[in-house]
Amino acid sequence: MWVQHIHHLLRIAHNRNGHASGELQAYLLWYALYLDAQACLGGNGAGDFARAFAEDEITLPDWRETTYPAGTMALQGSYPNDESTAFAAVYRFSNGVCKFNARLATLARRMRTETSTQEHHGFDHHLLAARQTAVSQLHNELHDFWNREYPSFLSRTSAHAGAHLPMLARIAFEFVGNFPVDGHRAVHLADT
Amino acid sequence: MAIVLSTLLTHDLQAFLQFNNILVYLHTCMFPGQQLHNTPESLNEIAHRCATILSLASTVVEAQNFDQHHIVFPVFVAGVAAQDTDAKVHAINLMRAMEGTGISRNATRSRELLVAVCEEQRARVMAGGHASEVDWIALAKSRGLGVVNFGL
Repeated sequence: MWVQHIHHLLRIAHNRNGHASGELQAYLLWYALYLDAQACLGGNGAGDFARAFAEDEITLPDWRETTYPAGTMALQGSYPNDESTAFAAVYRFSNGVCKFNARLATLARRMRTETSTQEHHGFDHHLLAARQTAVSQLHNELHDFWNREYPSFLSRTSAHAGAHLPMLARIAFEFVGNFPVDGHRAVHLADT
Repeated sequence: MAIVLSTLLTHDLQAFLQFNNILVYLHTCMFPGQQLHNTPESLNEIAHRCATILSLASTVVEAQNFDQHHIVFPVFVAGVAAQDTDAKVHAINLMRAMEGTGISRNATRSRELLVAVCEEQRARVMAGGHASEVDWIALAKSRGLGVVNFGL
């Protein structure tokens, strides 16, 4: 049943063809991706939604278009003056982390499938070497991405913000988390 | 309506949590026995990232933001991958604090699974083996402790 639901949502994502989505559809699609990747990392499901996103078969709705129609945003504080520049940086970052999580889930699914088919063939040094190469590659790409795309203005200013993110932006950030919007940051983020 | 971009700043902590989670999972959970093949440098990095995850998650729990059920999975992975007992106990306690949140019993089931994994890891060490020989995904399936989705 789970796989059938995911496949139906995947069809919706395919049929969008990049067209704008309503907020509800956008919410469903982002959350479907999050849950499918999570299931995959837990050793469940087929991970088809995560794979389609990881391999750029589908794109998911841009929460900026749905949540912040042009001209509705106003920035306060020491952020980039151009709101579109600031939100573009945050969107690019959140979308990128979603992609890495989907790639992680897809790779884990593939390796788990290999494991089940290799169990009767004994230890395979070549397979292990290939896996370690794939792990190192994803590791290095993630580090490079993080150092390149993490919006500099996010880490330089106070986290004691009081306003709330719209739901869709929160969902888009499920992969990168959504820390309590009224919370206080009690730890300092170490360098990566 | 004016939107304050600084709301997004609150995400940097969780972004960092997720970044660490991806790296810990990538080096420990991709296939059975993966940790047995990690270098000492990798093991040190994993330990550091597990400690970071638990510290960040503690901040969320201390703030009593119990709707943050998506921290369950990073905490679970850190609890499985951490080598020292204190970190594992810390992870179990954090998950216990998250129970009753979310839309299902996943936090409880996740904590039960983590306890079972830690017990199996300890038993493996006592028998002269290595904790990393325990594959938590296989263990969950064999014991009927499978968590359909940690993110719910």
